[in-house]
Parts: sequence; structure tokens; C-alpha cells
Amino acid sequence: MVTAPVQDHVAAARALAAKLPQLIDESRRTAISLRSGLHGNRKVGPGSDFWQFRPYVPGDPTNQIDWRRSARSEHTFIRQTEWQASHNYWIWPVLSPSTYWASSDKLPSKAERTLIISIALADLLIRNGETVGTFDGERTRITSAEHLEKLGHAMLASPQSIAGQATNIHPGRKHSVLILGDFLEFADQSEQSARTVRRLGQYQNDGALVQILDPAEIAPPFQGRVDLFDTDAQMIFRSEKFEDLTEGYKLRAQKWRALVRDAARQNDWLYDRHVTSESASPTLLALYQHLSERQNQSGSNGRGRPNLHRHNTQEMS
Amino acid sequence: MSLSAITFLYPAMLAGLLALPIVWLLIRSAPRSPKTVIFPAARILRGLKSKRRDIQRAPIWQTILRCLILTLLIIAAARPVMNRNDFAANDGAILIIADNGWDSAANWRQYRTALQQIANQARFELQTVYIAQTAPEAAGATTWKLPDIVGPVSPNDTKNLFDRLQPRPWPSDYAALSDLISERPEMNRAVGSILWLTSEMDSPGKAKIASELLDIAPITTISPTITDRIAIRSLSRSGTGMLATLAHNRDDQPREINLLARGERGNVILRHTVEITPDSDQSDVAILLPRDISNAIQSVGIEGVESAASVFQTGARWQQRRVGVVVSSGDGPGVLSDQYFFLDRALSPYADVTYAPLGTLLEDKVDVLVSAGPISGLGSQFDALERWVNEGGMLVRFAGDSSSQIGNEFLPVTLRLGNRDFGGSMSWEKPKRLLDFPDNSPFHGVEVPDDITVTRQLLAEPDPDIVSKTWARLTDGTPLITSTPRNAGRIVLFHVTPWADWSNLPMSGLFVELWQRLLPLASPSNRSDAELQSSLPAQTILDGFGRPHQPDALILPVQTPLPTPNPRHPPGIYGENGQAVALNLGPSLSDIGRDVVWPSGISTREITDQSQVDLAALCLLAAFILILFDAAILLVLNNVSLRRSRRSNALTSLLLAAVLTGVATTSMMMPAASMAATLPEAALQPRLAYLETGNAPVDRLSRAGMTGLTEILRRRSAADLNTVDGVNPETDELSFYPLIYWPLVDGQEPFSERAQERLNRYLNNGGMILIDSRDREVQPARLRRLLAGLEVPLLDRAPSDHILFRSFYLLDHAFGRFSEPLWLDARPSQRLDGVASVLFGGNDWASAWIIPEGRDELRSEDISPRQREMAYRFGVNLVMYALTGSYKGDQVHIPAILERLGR
Repeated sequence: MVTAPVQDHVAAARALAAKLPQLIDESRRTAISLRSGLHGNRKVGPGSDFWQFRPYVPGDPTNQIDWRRSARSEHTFIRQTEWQASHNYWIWPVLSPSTYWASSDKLPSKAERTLIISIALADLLIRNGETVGTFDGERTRITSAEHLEKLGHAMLASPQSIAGQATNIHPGRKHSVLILGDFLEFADQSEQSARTVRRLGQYQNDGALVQILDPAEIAPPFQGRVDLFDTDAQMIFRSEKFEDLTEGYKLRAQKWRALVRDAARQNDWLYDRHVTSESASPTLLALYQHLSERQNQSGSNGRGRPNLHRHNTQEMS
Repeated sequence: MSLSAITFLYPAMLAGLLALPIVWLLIRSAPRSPKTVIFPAARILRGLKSKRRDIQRAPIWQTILRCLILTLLIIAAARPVMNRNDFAANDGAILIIADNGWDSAANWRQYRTALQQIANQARFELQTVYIAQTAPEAAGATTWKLPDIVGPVSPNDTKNLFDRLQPRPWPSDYAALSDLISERPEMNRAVGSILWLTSEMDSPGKAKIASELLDIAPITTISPTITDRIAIRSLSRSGTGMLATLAHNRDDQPREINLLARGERGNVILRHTVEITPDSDQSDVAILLPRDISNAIQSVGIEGVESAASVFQTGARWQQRRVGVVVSSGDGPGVLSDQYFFLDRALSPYADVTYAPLGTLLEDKVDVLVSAGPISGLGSQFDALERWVNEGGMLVRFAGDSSSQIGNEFLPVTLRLGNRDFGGSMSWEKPKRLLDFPDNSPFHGVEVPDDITVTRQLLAEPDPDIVSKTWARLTDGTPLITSTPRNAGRIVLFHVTPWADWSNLPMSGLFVELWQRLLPLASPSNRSDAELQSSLPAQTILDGFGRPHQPDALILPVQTPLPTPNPRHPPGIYGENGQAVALNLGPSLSDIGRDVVWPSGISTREITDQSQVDLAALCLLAAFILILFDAAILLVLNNVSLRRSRRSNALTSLLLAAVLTGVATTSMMMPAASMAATLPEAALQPRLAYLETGNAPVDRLSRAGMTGLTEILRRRSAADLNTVDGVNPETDELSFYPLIYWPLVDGQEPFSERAQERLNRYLNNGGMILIDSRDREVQPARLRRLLAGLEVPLLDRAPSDHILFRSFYLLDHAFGRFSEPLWLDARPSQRLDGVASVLFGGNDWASAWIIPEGRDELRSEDISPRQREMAYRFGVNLVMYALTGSYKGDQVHIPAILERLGR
């Protein structure tokens, strides 16, 4: 097993940025199967599609009266079109230094996979007419698929840790927040990290935590005397016989993942786990379905967490 | 190969194997260095304690591998030796009797192997060695004796001695050896065992000396694996080809050998397979051959047997001449059978006789013409006959019948009218007998029987040169056979008739012998004006292996009857042209088939080719390979990429292995070399040197020439020099060399100051440089131009009485490829004892000193053997001069000194 040490994650990030067009291409291919057309908000609003007829009440603009419908009955009806407004999604790939590591040359680094999933998701959402942004300094938001590359660069510039960002990042009300990363900081800074996540979900924000892991992080394949180093070449741990530690590691890894999951749960967010040795599509599909479900549950304006009082008016015909 | 063939020289070292279990434990418990892995998620392990804190052990395969390496190293240190030959008990000195009589040549290679093995063993066991030979060598003026027993010598010095042992083409002399050994009582006390390299062949005195030697020490005879002995006893011509008689040992198996007949240039003319029947010690072989092919045969050998006894040379008498007997066309067959009966009987076994008129015979180009009485048909063929004689024909004339007048032409002497009659009914005189043949006669040495009588003869006029023309005379001094050369040809006159009415010579056996001497003289290549010699100098001689060589000064001429081969008369060809006789070893050998009966108490062993093999190097090699293997496995296991910095571990292992093996190998193989590393080899043993010119062919020539000279010196003098060095004054220290040969080449770079200074120092301190311009051009002025910066003294032509020309041989020129004069110091410094330091000439000595061996690219064809020999002699003189300085010059005063001492 060859370990690819990541001494300089800045350089790695730069390399990733250079690969961005390629990643975008790959993301598009991943997203293409899941893509569908512009969708309505199933709610009255500005748009070109018919949504419902409503009896005219005084004060309504007269140019909205649908005369043909009104002629069929004694009442005067106003033709209302569906509100076609985009929803806001914040996609935040947390590209901490540890994500640039891969256990083998054959596997993509976690950062790469994180970025691919993020961009693929962004692509899908933008094509559905949504607005996608990320938490870099300028809070870049795009609505057009042509600007995916700009978004990709912005993603690379987004904060590299969750903990301590609680006060810097404010998604809008009911905006969806998707956080992707290996969430290693939950292992030693779980309190602060969980707090940040909780804050991000405080205004009815829907969201998901996607934990992207290397297979070696689930079941470490090491044996014998091993010195374990961090990506910054600092020795973390020496094991005389790693086989003895495997069980302990697995227990702690479960606990670690449970912390992440709990952080997702407290906001009623989706938690998903992706392993870099697998294909990105299932994870992407799960995320997309989750978002679609929320959309269905929450109705017209209903991104964000489902609220109990929904004003859903059926079409009258 | 079996394990029992392996013995250890230092078995105590094997005790090191006892330490193996401890080493096992050490290796086993030594932890491997940890792998380093980058694993960011390891931070979740912080604070985790492993349950057991036992250190990981080295894997079992690695432990085994490393213990194996150690085992191999220990075994190598114990010096295992395979096929150890225990020739002699380790008790006192070893006396090696090396049989080098003629029978040793066929097995010489094996003898050499055995000698080497014995020397090896003696070296291992620190025994001293005595070496005795059995074949005598030339000593004194005309005699020979057995060489002295050499010893005691250390086994390390035996190599040179062994190199000098050569098989001789004559028999061993065991009686002399017995005397020699009994003359060395101190040796007999020292000797603990006797090793005798000999074949199973019986020779006179062999069993006797064996029983005598048993009193001194136990004997082990070391005999070759090949026990076949074979010699060509005789070779003769028959009417249809040739007859060979082979002598060989008895064998119960039929054998096949191949006879090889060779021509003048050594080319194989004939290959004849001979079946040797079991249980016989002699085989007769008849080979059918055309006459001219038989004539071309110069020697017959046995394929695959290199021995002087298996080579039979033919000599001039071998070639059959075509003899034409002149008859007149009117003579009937009755006359022929009548008149020429004895002549025919004497000639036909050895020659091809035809009877025809003169004209026909001349056209047939016969070698010898025989005519009785007047030459019939001479009138018309006179010119043709004269031309034939002038071109090398041999005309043999006899007296005719009673008409007695045989003409005036084509006679060696002037004849008186009439003939002389004695012992007949009309005479008072008694029949005359023959005197012994004079020195100038080709018949010299032939025994004259008493019963030869002559009753009538032709009388020659007593001319002044009659004595030199006479080959045989009667008791009263009158010539019976006369001869004179005529240009390339020769005319011989028998003063009697070829039939029996004038004398009984034609019916005697002497007549046959005379013809046998006469016929070879009619060789087409014969120069009849050459002096006929009674003592025949050697032309080529055979060495023990049956290979021809140029004779040296030790070889004496032979006279008839031929002696048996001995150190003064080795087998070979003696005499020139028609007189060339072959002295062969085969005829003198008898009973070569009989096996010796050793006295009881002698142990015998066969020579084995399995020489001792030192397995230590093998063990070291195996250990090295295993270390590499170990390193390779570590490389793979630790995922160490050689491009990365983490290679240091594996590389260290590799380097360590290389250094370990290198050190071990050098310390095993070259114990002496490491000590002598700081001293140049040349300081330890004197040797010749040549100056390296940088021109590869010239350097190769110089090296070959100086090597040849070294070899000649070793053969002929007591100067035993080591191998030649090439020196470069820019880098090498010159002071160790007594003589430096310096060939000049075009475009030679001038020497640097350092080199000049070195050369000057060398010359000033008594060094000697022979400068060779190699092109006959000897101009000291030119030399001076070339050698700017060197302190070359004033040169002058070497006077003919210079010590250089008498320091070993007496010479009159500085012979090389050319014989141009030599220049040397005109006024050599008295500080150097008057010895010249710079010699300058252009005779291309190096190419003359090369010992020609086969097809050598360096061999230069334009040097005659004589020139080469003279060049060798000059070379020997030169080195003697360089080594002894003016010592030889002082020797001229010896008579005066002795005289004073006596007073």
C-alpha cells in the first residue's frame, strides 16, 4: 500500500483547481442522469404557467382577469400563474488538509470526490432553476450552469473547517445547506462543530451532512509496527502491532461517525456517508432524492424543513 | 560429488556454528524498523493503548535466511576444500620423482596436474619438497648425466621448477637415479614420503630402484589414467606401399588407433586406422600407397599421442628414386635377366627400376641412370644426356664386358686404356679386397665384409684430384668407385661390371648397402656440389612430445652407425639433402608392452583430474546472493521506492553486503597482495621493462619481444627474470629495472620535466636503456633531437671487443632483425664502473626476440631462424651486461690473477 503524503495541501488544492474543468465535466456526467427540467413551485407567483383561477375581489389588477373563464360563469375570475422563483442552496465542501489524502494512488483523494459531488449537485440544482452558492468570502451565488467553474473556485476558497465558523456564516432563511467533507474535526472538536451545524439549521434551514471517507478510514489495512503521521508530517501515533488496534479504531470511528450523524439529526438534516472507493452516483442520487422529498413535503415554498401548516391549494378545475 | 569429498582446512572455525542459536534469538527478537504511514484519521486513536505491549518479532523466514547467511560465512571461514588430495603423509619432506623419460610425454598433462596437486598439498601442510628427474640431460662437452635432485625447496617455489620439467625423447636412467639418491644422505633422512609419477611401463632398473627407495621412505606411485603405451618401432617401404611395426602394451580389449602420415610442411597426407588386436604387443601394418605419395611422407605419427616414440621420421633414404637402366634396343630379355640380375635385386626393393633405351629414359625424367659399358645410343642423345646431368641427374656407370672400352665422355676420372686383371688365371697377383670407405665418401661407416674380392677393374689415371673423387678403393689404393659432381648433377663410376665376372661385389650384401647410400644422393633437391659429410649435424630435433625444433648447441652430429637416442643425439633429422638420416626413438625401444612388477609395500594411486576446489569462495558467493535476496525482500515488503529518500535502509543493506563480501574475498584470495600493495612488484623480483609509447601495436611488440627474451634467458642462463613490465616514466618508478627497452615511434611526445628528471636519475644511478629506432637508421644526431632534455652521454660505435659482445656468447654484431652497428656511451662514467648507460641502435630487437609460436600476428616472417638465434644471443649478452656490468670484462684477467695467486 502506497501512501501518498500530502505535505502541502495548498499545492494540492491548487492542483485540484487546475483540474476543475475536468471535475466539472465529470460532475456533469454524473448529474446528467438525475437531471430534470425546470420545475414549478406549485404555488401562485410570477411565472408563465397557469396555476389557478381565483374569484375576483376588488383591488385585483384588472389585466389579470381571465375573461374567457369569466364568460363561462357568473363570477369574474382572475387567472393566477404559478410562482416560479428559485430556491437557494448553499453547498459547502469543507476541504480540510486531511481531505487531500488518499490511502492509495488508485483512489481519488477525498477532496476531489467532495468537489465532484458538490459541483455535480450544484449543476443539477442550477439546471432546475435554483440558485447555488457557497460560503467563500464573497458568498458567491450562481444561477447559470455556465458559471459552474466560478462556483468551483469559490468552493475551493470556502472555509476549511466547520468548527468556529458559527458566527461567520449565515444562510438565508429556509435556504438549504449542504456540507460535504470528511468531518475529521468532529473527532476532536465535536462540540464546536456540532454547534456550527446547529446554527446553520436554525432558520428552518434544510440541509445534509455528507461524510466522505477513504476506505482505509473505515477499516485501516495496516499491520505490524506502524508509525502514523498526519498530513503535516507530525507523528500522531505509534503502534507496535496495529492488528491489536484495529478493533479499537473501528469502535472509535463508529463513535466519530455517530457524532456527525447526531449533528445532522439535531437539525433533522440528512446524513449520508460516501466512500471514495465507490461511485459518486448513489450518494448524489440520495442527496437529490432527499431534496426532492423535502420539496414535495414542504410544498410550494417548501424548501427548508417541513412546517406543519402548509397552504396548499389544489387546482380547481 | 559427495559430501565426503569435502574437507575443512580450519575445522576449528566450525565451532562458530555453536553460536548460531544465540544469533538466532538475537535476530528473532530484533524488531524491524516501523513502517511510516500517513493516516490523518489516526487522530481518533489518540490515547488508545494496545492491550499487549510485546515487541514484534522478526518473521521466521527472515531469521532463517539470516542464520543461513551466517552459517555460510562461518563455513567459508573454515575453508572447505573439495577433492582434497592426500598424496603423502604429513611427515617430513616429500621427494617427488618425476618420470620424464620418453614414456612420460603422452601423459605429461596429467603429470603436470598431479605435480600441481602435490604442490598444493605440500603448501597446505607446509612440507618442503625435493624434485628428482629420471631422464638424463646433456652435461660436459660430449656426455650427459642425470640432473641433480633439486631441494629442499618450499612448495611456493615449485612452480618455476615444475615449469622447467620437460619430457625428454630418450629413456629414463634409473640406475643413475639410484646413485644420485644414495649420494644425498641428508635428503634421505629428511624425506618422509616419496611420490613417484610414473607409468606402469617396465624399464631396466625400475623395480630395483623401487625396492631401494622403500628403505628410505614409503613410496606412492602416481600413475596416469591412460595406460596405453604405443611406439612406432619401424617403418619401411614395400613394393606396394609401406610397412609399419607398432609396439604397444598388451590389452584385453581391441583398440583402434590412427596413423597420421605427414608431408614436408606438416600437412597430413594419410590417415590410416589400425586395429590393434588384444593380447599382443606388436602389430604390423601394411598400407597400400602410390609411390609418389609414399615419397612425400616425411614423418608418421599416431593421432592423439604426443610422444617422441610415436613419431617416425623418414629422412632422405625413404624416397624411392626412379632408376633407368640403359639397354640397347637390340637386347633381348635374356640379356636383361642375365646381366642385370644382381643390379635388379639390389635396386628393386628401394627404387623403381625401368629398362629402356637412353632416349626413352631421358624423356621419362628418371632420377638415376645406370649404364654398363659404353652408353648405347649416346650419339644422338649426347646433348640431352649432358643437359640431364647438369640439371641434377645422377649417372651411374659400370664397366662393360671384355671389350672394356666404355668411352671417354661422362666419366668422373680419366681412364687408362685397357683394364687391370689380377687373380685370374693369367695373373700372379691375388684378387684384391676393399679398404674401409674414406671420410669424403657417402659410404663412410658401412662395414666392409672380408669376402669381397675384385679380380678385374678399370684403372684411373692418377690425376691430382683423384683422392677427392674416390669413394672406395682397393687394398692397393686404386680407386674402385669414383664420382664427381657436374653442375647440379653427379657422375659415379663403378670400376667393375654390374655382374659377377669381375668381382663378387654385385652379389654381396654390400652392393645393396652401397645403393641405399647412393640413391638418396640423387634427390632432385640435392645440391651435388655440397660437401658430402661423414658426420651429420642435426637439422631438426624432436622434443619429448615429438614436435620438431631447431637444434641448439648441445646437440652433437651423428655418424653412422646411428646411436640410440640420448641427450646428445635426440631423435630428429641429421644431415642435409641426400644425406639426411632420421634418428628415431622407436627402433631403440624394446619391451614397451611389459608392465613393471612393483615390489610389495608400494602403494599406487591414479591421477585424478578433480583438482582441489576451494569452496570458500563459493560459500561467500552464496552468502552474498542471500544477502541481496534479503535486501530485495525488505525492499518489497517495506514498499520502499528507490526514488525516494527512504531507500537508505535497503541501500545500506546492499552496500554492507557488497563491502562484507569484498573484504572477505580479498582477505581470502590475496593474503599477500594486501601486504605488498604499497611496494611495486618489480622491487621484489628483477625483470625487464619496456617503455610504453602509447602506440598499441608497438607496445604489444615490445612486450612480446621482452617476454621472449625473458624466456630465452630462463632457458639458457641462470637469469630467472619475472614477467615483463611496461613502464611510463611519467608515472612509474624506474629504478627497479636493470634494463629498459625503448622503441622509438614517430610523433612521440617529448617527456615532461618530471619524466626527464626521472630518466636522468635512472641513467645516473646505473640504469641502462636500449633505444631502438627499429628502422636500421642509426644516427645519434637524430636521437639527440628526439631526446632533448635527457642527459644522453656522448655516443660512439661499440668497438668489436666490447664486453657486450662477450658477456655470454661471443658475437661480432648487435644482432636484431638487422645487424647494424650499435652505439653506446663513448666515455662511460667511472662512477658506474665503466658500464654504458645508453645503447642506441636500429635493429628492431623486439621483433627478433619474439619466440614464434604458431600463427602469431606479431610474428615477422622475414627473420631467418639463424638471424633470430643470433638476436637471442645478443639479447642474452645484453641482459648479462646489464646485470653483471663489467664483471665479464674482468674475467680476461683471470689467467694473470690465477698466476699471481699460484705464485
